[in-house]
Amino acid sequence: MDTYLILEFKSHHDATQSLNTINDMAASWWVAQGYSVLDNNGVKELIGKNAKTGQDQPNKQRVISWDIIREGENGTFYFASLSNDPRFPNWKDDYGALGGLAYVERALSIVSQEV
Amino acid sequence: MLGFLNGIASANQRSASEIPTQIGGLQLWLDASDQASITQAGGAVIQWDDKSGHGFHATQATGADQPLTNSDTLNGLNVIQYANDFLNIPPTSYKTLIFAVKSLNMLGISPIVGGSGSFDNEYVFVNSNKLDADYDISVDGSAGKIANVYFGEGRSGYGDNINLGNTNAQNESAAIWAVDYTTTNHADYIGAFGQGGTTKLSGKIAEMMFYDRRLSPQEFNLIGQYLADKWSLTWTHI
Repeated sequence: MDTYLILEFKSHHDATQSLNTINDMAASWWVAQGYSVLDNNGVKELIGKNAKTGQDQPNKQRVISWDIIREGENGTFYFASLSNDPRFPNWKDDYGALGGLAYVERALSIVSQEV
Repeated sequence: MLGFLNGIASANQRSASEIPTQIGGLQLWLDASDQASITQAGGAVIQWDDKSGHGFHATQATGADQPLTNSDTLNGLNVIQYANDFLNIPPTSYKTLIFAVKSLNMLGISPIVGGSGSFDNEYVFVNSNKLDADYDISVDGSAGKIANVYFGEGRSGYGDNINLGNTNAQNESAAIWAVDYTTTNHADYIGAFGQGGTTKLSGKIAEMMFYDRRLSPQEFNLIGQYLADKWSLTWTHI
């Protein structure tokens, strides 16, 4: 059974605040990597690059969030941890420096449901 | 009939890369080897362009659900690597689905395409069991919708939960699959099924095509051979 790491919070408000911190952090990280990030009414939108030419693709889909918030079975709220993604090895340091809210990071099983 | 066969013959004479579009009814065509069709950030796929001309591009605006590009190859060509990821597509109707994969989840379900909302019971997934090396393909919950399922190594079957037997694929599941529906099916996701993409894919997709009609055996063979030649896979002619 596969697992992946999640960040868990006691309330939707806390999860939202933490995800906003992560999205701000990611925006700064992408800009430092040479990507364009546009502010669209407070939502930071990452512009992708063409895989062949490396050119910015402003008319293609943009990345608007790291993840969406889901409700857990125990009344908690969670989203995917950046620890799942090797592109962000030092995210916890940056998150702490930005004053990000406390979280519980734990493994969640991926259930392969029979249909 | 003669005109049809002439059409097949002339398609053979065209550039191999044009074969998917030369067969009528192409709705959606995703080709991982075409780097120009991929928009990425740090190797994560944001958009995988539809090459059919319909603009049914596969997209993912959420970073945590994005598959990777340029992380692996098949026959020296790029494949898209899913690790519990999926892409969204505009609602797409189809009667034929053909796809080439490099590897799939060896211990469970590998959703290839699926629907959401009122179509969340419409899906194609491959179910593998490492213990007996069987590969099953499950296609929709409705009996009678499937005419045939073809596995590139020569097995075929029909029904809504097809056990193709031991494919000797436990160590290398690179293969071509084709699904021939009797009725129209719907898809909203590449690499997931269920509302919101509840079950996601861990595996690698090389190329896939959707057609809005049933294909003839000759047409299946044209596309199957095109994929086999391109990705160094096996296609047993129907």
